[in-house]
Amino acid sequence: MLVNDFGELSIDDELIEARDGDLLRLAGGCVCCSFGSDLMAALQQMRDLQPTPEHILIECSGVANPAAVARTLGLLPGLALDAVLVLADAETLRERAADRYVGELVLQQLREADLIALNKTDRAARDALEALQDWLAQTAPRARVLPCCHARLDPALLLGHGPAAPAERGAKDGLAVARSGDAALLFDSLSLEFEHAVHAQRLAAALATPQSHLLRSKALLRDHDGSSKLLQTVSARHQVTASAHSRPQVGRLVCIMLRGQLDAAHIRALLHECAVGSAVQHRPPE
Amino acid sequence: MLLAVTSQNEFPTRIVPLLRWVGSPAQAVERAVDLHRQSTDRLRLGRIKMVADSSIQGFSARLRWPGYYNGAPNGLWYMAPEQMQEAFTLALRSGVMIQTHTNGDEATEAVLDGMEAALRAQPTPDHRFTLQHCQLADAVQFRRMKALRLCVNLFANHHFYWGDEHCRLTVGPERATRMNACATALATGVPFAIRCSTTCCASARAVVSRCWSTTSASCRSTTS
Repeated sequence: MLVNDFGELSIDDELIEARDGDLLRLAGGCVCCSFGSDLMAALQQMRDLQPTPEHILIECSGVANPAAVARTLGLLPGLALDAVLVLADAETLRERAADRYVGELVLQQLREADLIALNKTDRAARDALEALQDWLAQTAPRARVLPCCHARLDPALLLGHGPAAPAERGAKDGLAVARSGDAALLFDSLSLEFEHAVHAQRLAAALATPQSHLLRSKALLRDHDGSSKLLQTVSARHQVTASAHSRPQVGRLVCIMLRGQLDAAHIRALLHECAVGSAVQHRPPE
Repeated sequence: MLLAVTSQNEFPTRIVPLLRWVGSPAQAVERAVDLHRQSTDRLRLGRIKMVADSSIQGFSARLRWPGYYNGAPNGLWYMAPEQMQEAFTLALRSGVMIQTHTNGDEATEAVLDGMEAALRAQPTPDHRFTLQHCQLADAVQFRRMKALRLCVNLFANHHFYWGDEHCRLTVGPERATRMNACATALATGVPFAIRCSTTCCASARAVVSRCWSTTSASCRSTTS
């Protein structure tokens, strides 16, 4: 984890101010502007660690522009953006979005987020919470909202699963049993296996539409040209990359969504529509 | 190291360094209080440097309407205004002086608002909190500084090195010609100094150009 503190520009040798297990405190100015070279240097160091980190979490300040930080990542080979996560306070979000100094920034953060962890939902009245979620749907249509308390969210929602696991023999729908306990942690998952090749880009775009209600999805599959591909979506963000795995005989798709939003029939229909040789073509909504 | 060097008999200067702001307001103020206890006659410790925004020429300062002349989006907050207010209040309570970098006039306005609220909560005579750069402060903001007993240091030689770009690109000619308003500070009665940051203005000519720019509002295109 990289934690960014504001301050004067540090020279390279002092870039890593503290190391505590998996936490590196980055000394320097705002990572999303003129001190971007410090962020690049820190990310290069982390990328070159042995063993290589599976996931790097960059914590920006509350007045940062995380999407600008995310764009910096594209300059470094070997790293790819997973998601932009914004933590929002359900009690004060509307007020902050109208603040004369930071209001525009708050709206920009929301609009450019993939996931919005809407925190302190226990402190908001039910009707106020519903109105807030309606407002968020209009203000940040590309983001998926994760209501929570005490910022408690399952890491699977925030960071996604690991690399697509080999197909589990005998798995049917693969619907995970929701964990009991804190409602903030409950989610549904769907796991599908299929033997046909798929138009990967088309499927990725379809899974990323709001109608799919997916928080995350990941698939290892055969593309229309026979190549092995890894498909990933986080809210409205989607990407298809070449996979190092040998051409899979059986494709596997895993999807995560908030509890109660699973529409397995819709996901199956998308998979069918994007199958190579399918007579039914998926058309994204206008 | 600073203590060791400045304590030597032949050391001829009094140094007043500012502590770089890191961590929460409470952490920074606590550290400043601790450093203050170690001060000597020639090394005055325990003051804090805070940064509200970035630079006009980098399009990363926070500007009021109409924003950047070339339409670039508004700049960056380095600290949230509410966090600055919290820092001012804690620092006043603890007797710690803060100097705040503010380049854009929106950042200056946020600092003024924060200081006003902090002084209401913690009235403090002769606090000498200072605004640094303050390049776009207008007459109203200077009057607010006076009322709040703030000091300011103005980046006068910025005109020489960046004046053409300020006219053409960043803030336009009307605002560029009133930047770093030393005369306004003098007329309003705000204690001020003239600063030179050699990170963005060449050091070799800094002293001469600072004096020239302050009195003549010249920039490179008018002196070549």
